[in-house]
Amino acid sequence: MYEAVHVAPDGDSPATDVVERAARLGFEGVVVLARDATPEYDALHDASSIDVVDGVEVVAPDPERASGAVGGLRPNHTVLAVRGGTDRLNRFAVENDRVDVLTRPMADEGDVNHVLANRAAENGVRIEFDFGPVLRSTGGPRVQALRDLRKLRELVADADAPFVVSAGAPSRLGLRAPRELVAVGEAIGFDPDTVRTGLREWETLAARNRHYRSESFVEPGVERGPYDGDGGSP
Amino acid sequence: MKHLPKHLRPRWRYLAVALETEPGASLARSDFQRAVWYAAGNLLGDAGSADADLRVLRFSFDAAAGEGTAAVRARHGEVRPARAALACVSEVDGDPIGLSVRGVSGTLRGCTEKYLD
Repeated sequence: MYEAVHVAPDGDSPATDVVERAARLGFEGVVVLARDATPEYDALHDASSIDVVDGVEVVAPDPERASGAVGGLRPNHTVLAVRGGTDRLNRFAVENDRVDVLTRPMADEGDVNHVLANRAAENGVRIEFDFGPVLRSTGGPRVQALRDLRKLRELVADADAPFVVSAGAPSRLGLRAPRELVAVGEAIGFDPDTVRTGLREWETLAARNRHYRSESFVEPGVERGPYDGDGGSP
Repeated sequence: MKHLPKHLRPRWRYLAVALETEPGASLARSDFQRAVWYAAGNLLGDAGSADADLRVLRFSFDAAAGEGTAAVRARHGEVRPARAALACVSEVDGDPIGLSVRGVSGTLRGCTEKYLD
């Protein structure tokens, strides 16, 4: 199972600490969602026993600027996420098949309805269930976050849209082990398998995109094989 | 009061918990216990919290390294809610804290020997 993380300067902890703690908690890999961070992926790969995926999170105030960033960043990163939080940004993300993940769709003023969930399913954009507010807030904001998660869960299930689960950790200390996330999910009404699927989805996504970016890949179903130049048999 | 016959005594599970803070942060047992109760009360409600009946039994913390361990007792059959409540302990006395459950055991001795020593 994989987890999405933020590292300094986007998060509070350096990349090496975050990856090391994720490894200790039992994750098989992490997807670094970078904004301003530029971790040394080669050094992280060498130093760590788990997989480290280079991802990027587009945080923009409006779809126009997000669109420019998506176009510019897509070729250079394995996973591309767009931070939601307004209705327009959510709509932009789910309608764009170059976007892999819509993160924090219900944060701030954001909302999702059946139309957006169906569009996400059509375009293969994963909707994130962000457990951050459940793990780290209390009182009114947490009640609102729980209500939003329930609404999102029902919409995603109805549309059969793809989804991911993350703890939205701001630092290495905010990370929680997969079993803990499953237990929290169960306490707030998620099916345990849904949470596990959501954590595995990061891995599936990274593997698919790495394959797409590999040199042998031409398009789905078409690949360069180990053939010699005369057009004959392998 | 006379102690209960064996079949009426509650059965417990003991969760071995690893604690981590930023180096230099202080963490006292009583503060940790209070944070666990608050987290359980907030997530599981009064009824769920009473069912889980979480109590910190062993606690050690090295402030210089920012690392520690604790053994937390929960009622048998309530390990999952207990695990969820522990995951929601995000800070103690203003200091952010990282928690993970290393393992669950049926005796305190098993818990300490297997996961904490």
